[in-house]
Amino acid sequence: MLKIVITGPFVSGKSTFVRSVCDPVANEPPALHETTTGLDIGIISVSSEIELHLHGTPGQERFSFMWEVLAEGCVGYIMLIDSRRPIQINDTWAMLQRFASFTDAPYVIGATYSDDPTALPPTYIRKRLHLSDEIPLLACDASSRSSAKRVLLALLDQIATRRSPRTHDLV
Amino acid sequence: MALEGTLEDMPLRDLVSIFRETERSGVLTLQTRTEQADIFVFAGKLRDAIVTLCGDQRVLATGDAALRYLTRWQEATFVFRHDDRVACHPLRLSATSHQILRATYRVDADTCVRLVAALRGEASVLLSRMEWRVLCSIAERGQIHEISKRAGITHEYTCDIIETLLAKEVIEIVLLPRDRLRSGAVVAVRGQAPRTIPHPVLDSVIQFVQRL
Repeated sequence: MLKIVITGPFVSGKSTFVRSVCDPVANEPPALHETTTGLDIGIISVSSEIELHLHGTPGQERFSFMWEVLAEGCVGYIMLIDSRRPIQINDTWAMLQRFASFTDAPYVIGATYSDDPTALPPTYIRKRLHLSDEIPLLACDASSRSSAKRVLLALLDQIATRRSPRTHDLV
Repeated sequence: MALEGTLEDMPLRDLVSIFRETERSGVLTLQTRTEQADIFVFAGKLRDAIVTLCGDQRVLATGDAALRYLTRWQEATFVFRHDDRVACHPLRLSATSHQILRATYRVDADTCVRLVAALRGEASVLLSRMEWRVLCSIAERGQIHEISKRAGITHEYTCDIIETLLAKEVIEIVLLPRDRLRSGAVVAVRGQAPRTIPHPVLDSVIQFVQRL
């Protein structure tokens, strides 16, 4: 089982993201304007032996104690940020700091709602988050499987890059 | 669907700069406890600004005067809604937005600036001799106290010229990184390190996700 954490500030599209790429097995999908207070878990069964588990975290600071628990043993994480809410820039920055203290797993940023005509451009979000060039920041529509998949693949690519060079692995 | 926040989250100059870069059209509404302002933007260019009192809707300022008034606002909520109909709104701003908004730049001796990567194609920039002198003293990037030393002028005078150069968009402020986040560069990590994934496993996961 490979664990990937989907995190980000309150109402940044985490549950929607998990539902887009896999069928959730825990927590009922939240209705419109509802938020996650438990866990979103989605499973992608690659083979009989390999499963990719996507764990969505609650975004509120008061549930931050769960972030560390969820980050334990993860192979990477996706940080989502709503491109229409500048307030989330500071929240995202704080979450990135927190996650960096839990894990050194690779991560990517998904800028959700970036198709909205009022959304902040990814370049501005990158600048405000002080991201180095090697950290991918992708425009993302969390409700679209192809868009969410693109972000997930970017993370897997980061994991693969970190994993190089190839060695004789033991499964 | 709207861009929402406060001026603390995102200053007015950033909003206007993004509208300009991305050629947005719509109405930016700012609200304090007592006053409301509407800024009309079409294709990234500001067309009008109106400040009214919240209670009786009395108009306090319009056009350039309203924009100048808004540069003093530090705390307000804002909502930007896309609206192409702004094209029909009368053009009442005589000066370009960035010239008026330069008052919102806060530069001091520690502010770091750099030359912009490339000037816009539409840009035609005229610089005074002293502006050239300061610009040449920036090299690629530098803090105001270094620039003023190189240019041989006071910090205060350098700040004034830097504000003008910012408004002319030939330089930009460099946000000094707090602790620049780099993949893998972590000072202290609690908990378990991520497990090692064998290449064949990772390859099959990537291939599977690609087919999803």
